[in-house]
Amino acid sequence: MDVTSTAENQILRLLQGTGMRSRAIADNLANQNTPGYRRKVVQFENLLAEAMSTGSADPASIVPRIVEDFKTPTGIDGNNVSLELESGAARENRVLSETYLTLLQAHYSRLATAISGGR
Amino acid sequence: MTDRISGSSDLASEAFLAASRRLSERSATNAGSDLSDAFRQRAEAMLAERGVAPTERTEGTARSGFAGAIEQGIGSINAELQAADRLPEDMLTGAVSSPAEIAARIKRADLTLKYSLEIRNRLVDAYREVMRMSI
Amino acid sequence: MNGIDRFFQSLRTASSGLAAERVRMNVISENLAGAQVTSTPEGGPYRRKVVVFEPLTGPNGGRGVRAARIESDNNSQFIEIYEPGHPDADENGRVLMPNVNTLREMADMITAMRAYEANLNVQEGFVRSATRALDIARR
Repeated sequence: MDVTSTAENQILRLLQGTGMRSRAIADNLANQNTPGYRRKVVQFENLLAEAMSTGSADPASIVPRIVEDFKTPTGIDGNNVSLELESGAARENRVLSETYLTLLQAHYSRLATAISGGR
Repeated sequence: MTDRISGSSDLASEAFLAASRRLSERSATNAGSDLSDAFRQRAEAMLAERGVAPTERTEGTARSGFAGAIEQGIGSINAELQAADRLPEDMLTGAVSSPAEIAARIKRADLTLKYSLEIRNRLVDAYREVMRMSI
Repeated sequence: MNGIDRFFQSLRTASSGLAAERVRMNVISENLAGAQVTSTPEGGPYRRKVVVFEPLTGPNGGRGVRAARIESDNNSQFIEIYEPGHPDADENGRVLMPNVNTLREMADMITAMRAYEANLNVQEGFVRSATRALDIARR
């Protein structure tokens, strides 16, 4: 009589990833004018995709990771946050989390329907 | 059925206990409160009236199979409902730290309660069905 | 950091950005106001001020930014112009002007305003996102 499920847990893990990412993006935008600041990114979906396609790791063991971006070039003040790119990242993350939330909601709807037997 | 609601975690377990209590009250041959025993003994009584020998069953599996499942079920139901009751506390300690987690716990508790009430209803329906089979 | 702080982390990070950019905008306004001031109580022309931003960190990672201090810009020189009629002109008619470049200050102001707006958007985004997640529990 357990209503939890792997599907639900997967979606919740993805939502943890988008939560972490929204914190990193907020940090980047707050520090867009801080000298020497390097933007942070959260890797999760790409790590999962890699684990699933190459079979190199068990997807269930993968956790979201914050890393500093040393690839994007910096300006004169050593800061590599671009407002435009970061705002774009924020919107992407927003749509991603909305999608996951929609999946979660649909999951609960289906469960409720199954429980009531469609009556 | 109990009409005292002391907290959602108690409601479901009380639902089950009340159902099994009613069964044991009605069952003439059974002093215990086990649902499966009540059903089994009723069924055997019916068969005996018709001169049919009850089929052999391995001792202990029926009880652990059905009653055991109910006990386990009550345990996990309580766990879910208590997790929802603990939400304000968990928010303050940081055990939950996102709106999605909160929504998930609330939803789980909701569905768990729905699930357990549905099962209770079906059990009671089944009991009534069995009782209606006159000997 | 208690749980409620963690819950609102990205919102508060954005708030820190708003506060820091606000300080910066105030300093820029002061620079613009002092751009023509050739004699101050301390003596000499107005000296440009700058804000030093520093990132904030915490147990759960970055928590935004703070305006750590306001400093005088001692790296650039006062600008010397020739204007004999000026009240602060010396015997050669030269006046020392503040080391404020008005156009540059305006550009900095725009940068600060865009950053301010971006942080506001983060705040609004947080509220929308939390509301949407909690909606699931209401259905």
